[in-house]
Amino acid sequence: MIDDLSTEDALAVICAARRGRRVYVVGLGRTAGVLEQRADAPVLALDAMGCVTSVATGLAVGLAGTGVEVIACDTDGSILMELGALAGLATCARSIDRLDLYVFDNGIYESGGGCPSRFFELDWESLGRAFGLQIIVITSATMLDQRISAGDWRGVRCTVVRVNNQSPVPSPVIAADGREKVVNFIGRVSSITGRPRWPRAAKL
Amino acid sequence: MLAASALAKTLIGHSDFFAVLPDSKSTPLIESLRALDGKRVYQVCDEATAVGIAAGLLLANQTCLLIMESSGLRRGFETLGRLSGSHGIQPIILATDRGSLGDSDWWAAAHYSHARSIADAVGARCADLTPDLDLNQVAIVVESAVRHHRSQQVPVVLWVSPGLVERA
Repeated sequence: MIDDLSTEDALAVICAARRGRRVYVVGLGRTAGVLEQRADAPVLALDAMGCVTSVATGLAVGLAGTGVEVIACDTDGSILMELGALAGLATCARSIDRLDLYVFDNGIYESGGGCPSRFFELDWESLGRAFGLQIIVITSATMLDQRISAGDWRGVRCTVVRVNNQSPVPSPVIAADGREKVVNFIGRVSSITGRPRWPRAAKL
Repeated sequence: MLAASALAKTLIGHSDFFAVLPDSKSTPLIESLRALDGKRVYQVCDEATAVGIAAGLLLANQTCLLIMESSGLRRGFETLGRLSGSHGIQPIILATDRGSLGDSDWWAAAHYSHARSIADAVGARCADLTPDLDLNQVAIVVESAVRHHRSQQVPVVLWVSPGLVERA
């Protein structure tokens, strides 16, 4: 069942609840546009469907031990495009301190013309279980707030947020190109972790 | 001829992590890497996912060498093209060079031209690790590849002859 929770509403709850050091990884379209405008922490918006969860997985492995939480905001179409990302996440989970994965499920490819993302009932909980991941499906702001406010957790947390959007898709934050987004993100990650930014000084 | 274990010892010092794909030829190399430091080796089941994970590690200032069969470039091309071409996140890949001269497997023949076309399409800098090289020469090529990877301008691909990775 889809209620009236919008992507904007859901991201407002997620961003408002955050404390401590964190970074966001997001894909494209509405989720990226809203998050780039709303988040008060570094956001990397990737024009790359199907790899948001994989990139967030690698980032979370790389940031283990730094106390920085990775929040991935993926979408149903992106996950369906690359289900192998869930296998990669399951493989790497042992090395992750804190990765909070949200999948915004609107049931359509909104940036792809609005066609349905599938023609079958997708059982997210069972899909997660197949990879040893516990997925909880959220259908309201109250449920989402309770989910986020739940006790302390470690490792990987997976949440599917069913959304229904009526407003126009917001524009992404202006950048010269995708490289500028990456360079800005790396700089902000470096300042949070205190680690030198890529590329490292050549040792050879 | 150089054994996979010797190549693994050369590689282990040049990357923080290794994302490896199933590949009949490079299994001895992967097992050697695991024996050296299994915590840094992640076996992933899909090349596109592996490219994404390596990109994420790079964002955290951690290097990740991808090890796959050359055919894996086909599978990973979409993610590679977007992350490399659109976002400038450049991977370093060691690809088993299937279908090259002397390879008698019919199904490997297309891997050769496809993989090179993809590497060319993303502007990769490539080098060959062939059986005629000794360990010092291999080390020089690997170090050059790592140095180039640090520039983060284009992907780097090392085509490794099966003979260098299939003998434990």
